[in-house]
Amino acid sequence: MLSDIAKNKVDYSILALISGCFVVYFLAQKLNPNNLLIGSVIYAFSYLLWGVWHHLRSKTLSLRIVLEYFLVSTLAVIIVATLLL
Amino acid sequence: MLVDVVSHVFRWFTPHKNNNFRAKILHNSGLVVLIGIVLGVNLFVRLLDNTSLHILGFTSSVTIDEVVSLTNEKRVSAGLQPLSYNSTLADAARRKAANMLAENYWAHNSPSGISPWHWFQQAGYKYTHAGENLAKDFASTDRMVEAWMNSPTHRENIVSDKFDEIGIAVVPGNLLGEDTVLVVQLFGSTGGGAIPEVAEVKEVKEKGEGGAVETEPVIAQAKPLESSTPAPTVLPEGDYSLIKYNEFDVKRIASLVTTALMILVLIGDLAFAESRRLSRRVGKNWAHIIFINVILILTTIVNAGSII
Repeated sequence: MLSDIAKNKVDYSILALISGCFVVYFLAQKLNPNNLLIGSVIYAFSYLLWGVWHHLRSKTLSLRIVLEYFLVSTLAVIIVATLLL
Repeated sequence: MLVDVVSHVFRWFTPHKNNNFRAKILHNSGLVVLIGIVLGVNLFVRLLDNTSLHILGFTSSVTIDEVVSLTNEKRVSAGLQPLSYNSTLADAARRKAANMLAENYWAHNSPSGISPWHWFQQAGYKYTHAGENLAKDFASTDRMVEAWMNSPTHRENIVSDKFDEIGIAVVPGNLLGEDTVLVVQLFGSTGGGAIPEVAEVKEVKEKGEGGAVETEPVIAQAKPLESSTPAPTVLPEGDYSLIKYNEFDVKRIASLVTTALMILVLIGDLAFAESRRLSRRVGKNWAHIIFINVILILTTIVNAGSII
């Protein structure tokens, strides 16, 4: 199950680093709903960019894949927004 | 018929030849449906909350006893003496809460410029030091006290050696258009019961967005300390009698279920693709799992209440 991570160590390391930074940010800002919402939007956008970059590198980028990352990111932002707003 | 329905639902969550060997919910069309469901559930919860029946509304288990007890626990842990409950301070807290609901504001100072210290004087509490922490929308006392302790300015009030008395008001009401439970926590000291000579009245000093502490003495006259046991929290009857659930808790459960479900479906799909050695041009499941896990963490740390 880990074969894809093994093949794309650099890409997943960057994603893990971005995610780790945002987890720290979210924990630090847990009493500030506005910052949490802004942070989640930036994180979702970063994830979309990561997806495009990763598939561009592996020459598997297509509109359908971009749309998939966009929808997953949008779903995440909506979940967070429904809690915070 | 029933088998068909179950099979159809099953295909939304598991790979099958009819869904091109990928759970339907992971297809772009499935994700759009999921987004629609999340928005629909949120709209439904809000509509329920806005009905005259107040089926959802806001419920809180915050009690005065617990606020005093947890505050004193924090003080004892910090090596300080516990605060004694003062009914005059509690009266000041109730007056402040009533004013916030009447004037519809969420701040230490009212829109008409009334400072927190006005309520101390109105209640007849002659202080040498005074402080105020405010909270609303918290479903439980421990989360609320924890939120205060995580804020340096509120924590400063709770573990200040300047205070020896506490007064609490827990008042449900409608603030800024939303049902809530307001908590006003007032701290004070009267200089050991013998009030010093008349001193200069100073402006209220607020520290950031957190609790306010006034350290300057004010005009005072001798008055013995008055302590008593906390009065029980009483929720008024009427609108609140039909409250069944907490809107935030319903939304949090829906969020947790959605994110956990997505992670489970992604793991299942990953295992299936590996076992069948499928090569598909789709988004990376591992990346989605990492991303949604962070969102799952975020939904668990989000706090319903707010403090000032």
